Amino acid sequence: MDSNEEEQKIPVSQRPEWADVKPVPQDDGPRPVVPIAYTEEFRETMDYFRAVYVSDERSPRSLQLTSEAIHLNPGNYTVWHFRRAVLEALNADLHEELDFVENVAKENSKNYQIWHHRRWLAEKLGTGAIVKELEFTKNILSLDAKNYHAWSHRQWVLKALGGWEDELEYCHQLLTDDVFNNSAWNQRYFVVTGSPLLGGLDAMRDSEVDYTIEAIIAHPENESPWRYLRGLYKQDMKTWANDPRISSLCLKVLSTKTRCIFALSTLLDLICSGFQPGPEFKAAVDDLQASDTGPSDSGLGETICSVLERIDPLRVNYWTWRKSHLPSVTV
Amino acid sequence: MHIVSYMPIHIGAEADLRFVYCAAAISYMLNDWSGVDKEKAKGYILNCQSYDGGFGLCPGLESHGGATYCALASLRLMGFIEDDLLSKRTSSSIINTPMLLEWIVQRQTVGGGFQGRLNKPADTCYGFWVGGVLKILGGGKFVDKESLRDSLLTCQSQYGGFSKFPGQLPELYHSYYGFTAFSLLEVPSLNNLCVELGITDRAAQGP
Repeated sequence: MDSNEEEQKIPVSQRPEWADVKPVPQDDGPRPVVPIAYTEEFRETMDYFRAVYVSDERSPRSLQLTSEAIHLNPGNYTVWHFRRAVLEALNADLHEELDFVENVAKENSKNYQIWHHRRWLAEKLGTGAIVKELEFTKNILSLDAKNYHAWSHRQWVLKALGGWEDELEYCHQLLTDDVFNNSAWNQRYFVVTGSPLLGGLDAMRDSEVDYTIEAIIAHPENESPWRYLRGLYKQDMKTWANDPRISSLCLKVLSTKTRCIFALSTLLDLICSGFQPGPEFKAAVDDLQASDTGPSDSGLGETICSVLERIDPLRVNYWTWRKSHLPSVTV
Repeated sequence: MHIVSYMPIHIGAEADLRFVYCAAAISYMLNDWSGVDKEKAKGYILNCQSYDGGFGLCPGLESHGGATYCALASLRLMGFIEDDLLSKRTSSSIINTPMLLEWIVQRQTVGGGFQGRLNKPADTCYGFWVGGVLKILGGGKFVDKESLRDSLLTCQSQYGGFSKFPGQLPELYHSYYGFTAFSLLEVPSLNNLCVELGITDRAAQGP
C-alpha cells in the first residue's frame, strides 16, 4: 500500500500536517433543496479543499488533497482547475501527472474533465508527449474502440503535435478487428486527408477505393465503407459518377441478390449524378423486383426506389420521396 | 484560418459544437447576439460536416447524432437555415442537405430506435437528437413512427422515466429525451416541442 492510499484512510482532520487549516463547509444556503447526503469522508475532504482553494495555497499538500478530491468526484472541474494551478506553481513533473490521469481515466474514460486535463498536459509537454498520448488513447480504445473522447484527443494530438507515421496502419488494425467500426473508418478518412506524410486525398484516392471495395465485397451490408467510398470523392460528383469501379461494385453486389440496400442507394446516387447505366444494370435491378411485379417502362431510378421501398421498409417514405425527386432525365 | 468555438467555462476547458449550441440558444433566448460572432460560428459548424453528411463535435470527428442536432439547431437559431429545408427547392443551402438526409434516415435501426453513430446500438436520447434534426429539416415523415414508439417504450421503466437501453435503470437525462422524442412524435397527451431549444412551445413562447 503506498503512502497515498494510507493517507486516504486517515481523515484529513486527524492528520497533523493539516492541523493549522480551518476547514470551510459547503454553503448550501439557509434552506437547501434536496441536499446531497455526502459521506463523512467526502464532506471533510471537500471542506479542506475549499479552505486551500479560498486561501489559494498552491503547495504539495494541496496537490495531494486534489488527488483525493478527484478520486471522490472526478467530475468536479473546480478541483481540476485548482490542481492545474498547483502543478504550475510547484513546477511539478508533468510526466508523473500523465500517470495520475491514466489511473483516473481507466475508471472514468468518458469524463470530460479528465480529457481536458490530459490535453492541457500534452500542450505543455509538446512533441515530447506524442508517444505517450498515442499509447494512452490506444489503451483506452482497446477497452472501447469507439470512445469519442479518445478519438477526439487522438485527432488533436496528431494535428497539434504530430505522430502520423503509424496511424493508417493503426486504422487498418482496428478495421481488421472489426470492419464495422465506423470510428476507425472516420479516422482513416482523417489520416488520408490530413496526414502530411501521405500526399493528400487526390494522391490516396485510388488505393483507398481499392481498399474500400474489398471491405464492401466482404460485407455489403456494412454501411461504413459505402459512406467512406462516397467520401473519397468529396464534392466531385462527376468523377464519382463516372468511376467504373463504383458502378461495377454496385452491379457485383446486386448480382448476389442479398444485402443490397447500399448498392441500390449508391446506384441511385450515381444515376442522379449523371451516370448512364447500361442494360445489365436494369436487368440486375429488375431481378430484385417482387415476383408479382410486371414489366414496367419506368426509369431505372424509379425502379430502384420501388425496390428500396420494399426491401428497406423502415424508410419507405424516404424512398417514395426520392422517387418523386429524381432528376428529370433518368434512363 | 481562424477557427472559433466556444468553451464551457472561461478559465479553460474543452471547445466544441456543444458550446456553439449553448451560445446560440442563450443568445436567442436573450435576443442578444452581441456575444456571438455569427459568421465565425457558421463557418465552424460547416467545417464539422463529415464526409458522410452528418456532423461531428469538432472538424474531423465522427458524425454523431448529438453533434448534428447542435449544428442544425444552432444554424436555425442564428437564422442561417430556413424551416423545413427539404420542401424548399433551393439547392443553395449552406450545408450538404442531401448527404445529411441520406445519413440521418439510416440512423433508425432495425428495432425502430435511433442510433447516435453508424453501427452503434440504438439509445433512447437519439429519439430527440436525431428526430429533432429531421423535424428541423422537415423530414419528420421519414421516420417510421410506429417502430420508434415501440422501441422507446421498451426503455420505459416500471418506476417511470426512461433508460438508455432496455432493462436498465432510468435517469433524468434519458427520461427527458424520451419524453421530447414522444413530443416530436406528436402524441396527443404531450405538448408540442420547440425543437431548436428542446423545450415546449409554451415554455419557448409563453402561454
